[in-house]
Amino acid sequence: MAIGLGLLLSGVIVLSAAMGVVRLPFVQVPAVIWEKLWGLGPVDALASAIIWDVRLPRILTAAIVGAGLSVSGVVFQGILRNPLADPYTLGISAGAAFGACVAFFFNMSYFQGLSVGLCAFAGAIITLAVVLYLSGGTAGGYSSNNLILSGIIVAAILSAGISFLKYAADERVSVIIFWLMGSFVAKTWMDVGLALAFVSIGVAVCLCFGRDLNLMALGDRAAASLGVDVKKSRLILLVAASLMAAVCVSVSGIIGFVGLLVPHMMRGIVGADNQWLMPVSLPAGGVLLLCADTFTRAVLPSEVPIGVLTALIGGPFFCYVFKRQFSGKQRF
Amino acid sequence: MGYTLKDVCFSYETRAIFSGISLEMETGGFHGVLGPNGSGKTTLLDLITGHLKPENGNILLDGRRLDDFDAGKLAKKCALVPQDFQVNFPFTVAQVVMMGRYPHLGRFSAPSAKDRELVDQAMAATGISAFSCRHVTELSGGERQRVVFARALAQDAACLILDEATSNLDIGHTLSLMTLAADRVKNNGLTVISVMQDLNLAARFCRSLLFLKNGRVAAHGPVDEVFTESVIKEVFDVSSRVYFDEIIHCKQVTIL
Repeated sequence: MAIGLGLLLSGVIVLSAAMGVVRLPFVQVPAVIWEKLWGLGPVDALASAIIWDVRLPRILTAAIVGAGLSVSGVVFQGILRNPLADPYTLGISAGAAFGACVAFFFNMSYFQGLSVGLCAFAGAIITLAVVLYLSGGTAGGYSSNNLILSGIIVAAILSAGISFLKYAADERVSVIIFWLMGSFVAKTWMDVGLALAFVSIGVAVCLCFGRDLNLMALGDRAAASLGVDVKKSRLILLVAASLMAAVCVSVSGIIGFVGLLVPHMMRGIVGADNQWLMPVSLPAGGVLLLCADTFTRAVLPSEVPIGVLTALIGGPFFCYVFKRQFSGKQRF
Repeated sequence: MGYTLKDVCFSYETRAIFSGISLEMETGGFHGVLGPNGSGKTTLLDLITGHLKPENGNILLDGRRLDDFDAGKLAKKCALVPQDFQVNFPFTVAQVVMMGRYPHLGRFSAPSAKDRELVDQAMAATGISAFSCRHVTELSGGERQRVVFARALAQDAACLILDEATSNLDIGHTLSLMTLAADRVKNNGLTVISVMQDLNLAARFCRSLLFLKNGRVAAHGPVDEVFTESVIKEVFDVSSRVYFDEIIHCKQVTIL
């Protein structure tokens, strides 16, 4: 199933690279990738530039971010023992948004335009550290309730900070708002590389702890009696999933619902076993977000911010799933 | 799988639960732990399973300090049936019972035929094979408790720790699970440590009883010695009449 979805993902990548303002034949996409990989001279310089320099970075970033957010969502739901959790529940997104706002507010432009991403990433990491500090320490260290409460408090403070920066930013407010809505416009190969590095490390760590995540669903006591060092495993998973979410947000802005929706949809298909749920959610999230991004880029007459689109499509769909689950049979 | 506690102290924040408790529970026995609410029964189980660490004193398992075992090794020796069991995700019954095998599996190795056989046996023994494919989220409280019991059996540990494991069960299933545990104590040398509320059930199945009150040992010994009206009066503050029941051949009590 995971392999099938992986093939589907490659197919969607090729299809969407051919779609756009300039329509190209589908076969040209693998041809361009082939010639670039082997360092051959371009047969068609324009098509090669469009596919390799413009579309592929954006497409790959979208796929990696979708995949990262989905696995991160699975892990967050597992750690917090709450099917309504997502990668942003602990305030990671608010932290990243605040960091980005600060960068915009002071008009930072160091490191060749990387400063916004860096500030967003730093904001997310600091937020994570504060949330961990607030929720750890006591006997029920890093318990689900502690984490969610700390996350809500920190996120509330940060959103107030964001509002203040928006208010104080005058004419620059539009830049902030556009960033917050999320976008894959003008992504470079460096974005691809950064996202890929973090997401693959994070996914690798999370996959190693699939069984521990299953046991945590039984409750701390039961998990501990089955040989899980609950506090340690939870901390490792939390940091891995948060880093994935943080890099995704830093690269693309805040894209909601992917991390909530994909784990739910996949749980309905493969069941709750995290050893399967994670490897399946990975390509599924990639396909979903890439389709959404291609839709706004190539199908709609003018581009809608991707974060808005995922919320507009994902929100109602989630309502449907939610209603069906809790009204009829208790199935996910 | 004998446990020895020496001068163990433990407190939650400022509330002291145990201040220097010492006791011994030998291998291959069926030990009942009784006491009023808040007397430290569940805390005692948390301490001997290593979920909580004592502030002072030592807990020995088979003569070795509990700290010397890593969590994975301990999970092969000792299985817990917890009191509260709420799962928010739609695992199937068979998946949950298979989780009892996780401590025996490598991080990535798939369950072997033997693992699957033990899971099937555990489900058959607890009478849950019929709904092995249903989701645990759809089960009633009693059915869920039998699933957890099956998972603990599948863990194939030398010691089974029950925290009011039959509190949600009907009388038929209660008797069948307790009989199952008692049989394994007798025939396979299993050690069972069970926190219970039902005095008569404890007197019927346990070989030794530990009465706790306010974090102290009020009485500890074989059922014949400690299951008395005076102990029950001291621990639970109720008057009672203890008698020998000729039909089931054990001591029973009627609370007056």
